[in-house]
Amino acid sequence: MPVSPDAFACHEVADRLEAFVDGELELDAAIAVEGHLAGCAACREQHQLAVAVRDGLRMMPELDTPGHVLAAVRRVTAAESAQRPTASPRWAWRTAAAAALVVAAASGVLWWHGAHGPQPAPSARVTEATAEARLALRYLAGISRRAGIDATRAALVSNLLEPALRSVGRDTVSTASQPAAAPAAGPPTPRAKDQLHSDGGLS
Amino acid sequence: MNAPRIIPIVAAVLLVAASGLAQTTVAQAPGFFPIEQLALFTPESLNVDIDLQGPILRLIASAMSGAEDDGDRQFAALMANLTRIRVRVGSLDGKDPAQVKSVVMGAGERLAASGWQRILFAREEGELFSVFVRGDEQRFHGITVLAVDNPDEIALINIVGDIDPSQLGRLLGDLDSLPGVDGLDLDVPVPAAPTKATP
Repeated sequence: MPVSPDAFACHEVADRLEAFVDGELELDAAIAVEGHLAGCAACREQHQLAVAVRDGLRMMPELDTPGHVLAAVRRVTAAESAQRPTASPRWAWRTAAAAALVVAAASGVLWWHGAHGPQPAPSARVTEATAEARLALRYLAGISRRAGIDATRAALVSNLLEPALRSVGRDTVSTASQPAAAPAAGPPTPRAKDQLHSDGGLS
Repeated sequence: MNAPRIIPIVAAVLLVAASGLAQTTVAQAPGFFPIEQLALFTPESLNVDIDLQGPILRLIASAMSGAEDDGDRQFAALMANLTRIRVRVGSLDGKDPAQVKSVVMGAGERLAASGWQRILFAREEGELFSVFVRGDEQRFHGITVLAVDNPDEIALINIVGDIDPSQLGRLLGDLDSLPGVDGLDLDVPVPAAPTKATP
């Protein structure tokens, strides 16, 4: 049954506007909506807004919008709807447009990062940093061990070897009954004295 | 559209501000020593340049904390309490070794004068190793290493944080058994170009 061009009120047109813009309305209903738009400036404005939103979305690059972004948009729009149970078609379209802009902005940011921000993923950065931290500790281990070895050697020289040499020197002098001083007696050699001071070690 | 351009700029500004704040905090830590100020390296002579700070160290700790290997868990526990790891290794690159040692000795004197305790010091045939710690027997607030391995290598290390000496000792002992750490042995696998890390 054909629908008269004057069959729809504004709110009935608003209910069908999305389907009309998407070309999904039945022919008779579409004709009726067209007839109403021809004579109603307010609904024409809503129609133009709906067309602009549709065209804007079509022009956007095809991206996989993350689920959490879509979920956030749905939460926002659901909250808007809950707060405006009697919202006019104007507000409904503005909310839809705002939601579309949020998605567009989020997708734009994602695209911008993808195109201009070739930064390693966080996990890759952590892996790299872990290797650097291990390298740092290996340097510390190597230096500490080297210094510890030198410390031990110097301690042995000053505490064991040199007293032993002095003792041998005295014995030699005593046994031979020679008046000259023992060659090994006296202050530590410059190298041993210079070699080390140690109060302990890391490990 | 301006929004996609503005958002990264704002994020970058916030990151820079946060980084500056973190550096200020680390610089005020008792275990901090500005090894950069020794100015012993040119960009060409610097072989390793590691700078890891709080946030990335916590990420490392978090990533490694669930490891099956006990050594990895110890490593994670150590990282969790650090606020900075700074390592600079480079070559003398034609510098006068005596002058370099003089600079390093001067740094050691500055450390000793500002409350650091020298726990190891070795000087032999052109080599010079100093290990300083700040803290007490139970906990270190920082470790600083100054090493000159004649004829051609300088290593400066500053590790800042709440460090358990026994934990660090065990970890270094494990690392010590790995190849490439015999003695100073700076032939550990290092990147060809300076590796610059930021938090």
